[in-house]
Amino acid sequence: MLDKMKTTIVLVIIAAISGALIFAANEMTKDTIIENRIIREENLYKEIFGLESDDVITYEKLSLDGNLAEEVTVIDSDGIIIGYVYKGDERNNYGDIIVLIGVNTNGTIADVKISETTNTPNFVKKIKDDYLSPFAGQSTSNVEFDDKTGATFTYGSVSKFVEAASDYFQNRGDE
Amino acid sequence: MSKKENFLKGFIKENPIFVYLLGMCPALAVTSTFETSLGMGLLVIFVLTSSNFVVSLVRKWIPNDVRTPAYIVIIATFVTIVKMLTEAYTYDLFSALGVFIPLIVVNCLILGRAEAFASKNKVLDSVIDGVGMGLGFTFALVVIGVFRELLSSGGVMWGNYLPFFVDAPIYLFTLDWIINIFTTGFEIENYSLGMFALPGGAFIALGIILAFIQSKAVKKEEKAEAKRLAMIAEKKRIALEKKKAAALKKVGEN
Repeated sequence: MLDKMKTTIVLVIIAAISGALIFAANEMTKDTIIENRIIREENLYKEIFGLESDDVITYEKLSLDGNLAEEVTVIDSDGIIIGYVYKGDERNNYGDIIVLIGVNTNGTIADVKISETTNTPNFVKKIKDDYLSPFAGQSTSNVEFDDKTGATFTYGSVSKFVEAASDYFQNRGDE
Repeated sequence: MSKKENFLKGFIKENPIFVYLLGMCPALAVTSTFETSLGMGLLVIFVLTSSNFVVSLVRKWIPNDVRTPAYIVIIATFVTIVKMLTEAYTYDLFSALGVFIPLIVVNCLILGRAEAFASKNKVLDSVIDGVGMGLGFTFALVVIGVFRELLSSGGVMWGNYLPFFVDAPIYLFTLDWIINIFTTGFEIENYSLGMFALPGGAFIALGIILAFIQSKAVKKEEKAEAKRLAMIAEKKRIALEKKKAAALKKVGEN
C-alpha cells in the first residue's frame, strides 16, 4: 500500500513539474506565436491580392455559419476595399486543412491558398503547385473544377470551400 | 569509460543512426535538405541532453515499475517546450519539420539513452552522454541531408529554414562552378535527381551511405584479421625455428 502511495506521489510530482514547465514556456512564447500568426495571415492576404509586402492594409473579420469559418474584408490605406478573403477549415481523412479564397470586388477569384494543413505533404505540394492557380481569374458565378483531382481529399476540401465562397459572394452581392 | 570516451562514442563507434539504426523516422523524413537535418539534430540534442539530465537527477526516486511512463512524461515535457520555442522563433523550421517535432517524444534514441544510460549513471556523465549522442545523431542527419540535397538540387543552401546570419537564402556550395571550369552555361539544376528529395530517395541515400560505412568497417576487420593471421604465422615460424634449433643442438650433442 505504501509502495503504491509512493508511486502515485512521484508520478503526481513529475506531472506537476512538467505542467509548470510547459505553462512557463507557453507564457514565454504565446505572444510571439500569436504575433507571428497575425503577420503570416496579413502576408497571405497581401499575396492573394498581389500587393507588395510593405503595403499597409487593414482588415475586418466576420464570423460565418455553414461551410465557411469567416469572411475577411481587406482594405487598403485609403480605406478602399481591395477584396474579400473567405476562410474555410475542416478535418478531412488526411488531417486538418485551412483554405483561404480571395475574391476581388468585381467577383473574380484573386487566388486560393492552403494556409495550414496536416494533410499528406506530397499531395498538398501537388495541389499547391498545379491545381490552385487555375482558380485565379475565374468568375465566382461559374467556377470550373478539376474532376480527376477532385477524388483526393485535399482537393476535395479546396473545391468545397471555393464553391462555398463563390456562393456566399454571389448571394452577398444580392444583399 | 573516461568522460572523453563517453562523449566521443556517439560520433562513430556507437552512432545512433549509422550503427544502431535508431531514430530512423526523422532520419528518413526530414533529411531532404541540410538545414532541416541540422534543425532536427539541434532539437534532438536539446531534448536528449535535458531528458538525460532530469532522468539521471531523479533516477533514485522513480519507482522501477513506472519508470517508462515517467521517462516519457519527462521527454514529452521537453519536446513540448521545444515545439513552442520553434514555433515562436524559427517558424520556417517549425513548418518544415511539421509533425516530426512532436514525434521526437517517441524517438527510440531518447528513451533508449534514458533507460540504458541516464537511469544508471551520474548527472554529469548522463549530460555528456546526451550531448555526445545528440551530436552523433546530428552528424548522421547532416551527412544524409547534405548527400540528398546535393543529389536532388546540385547544391547546399542556407537561410531557407534557419534564418540566422543571412538576410536571404544563399548557396553554401554548388556543383555548378566546378563543372563550369571545363564548360560554359552549365546549370546543375537541369541534371539534378529530384527523387532524392522524396521519401523513396531517403531510403536509397541511407542505403548508399550505410553500404559505404559498412564496406569501410569490413575492410578494417579484414585488415585486423590479416594482421592476426600474420602474427599467428610468425609465432608458428618462431616456434618451428626454436624446435629446429633444439633438434640440431640435440643432433650435435649426440
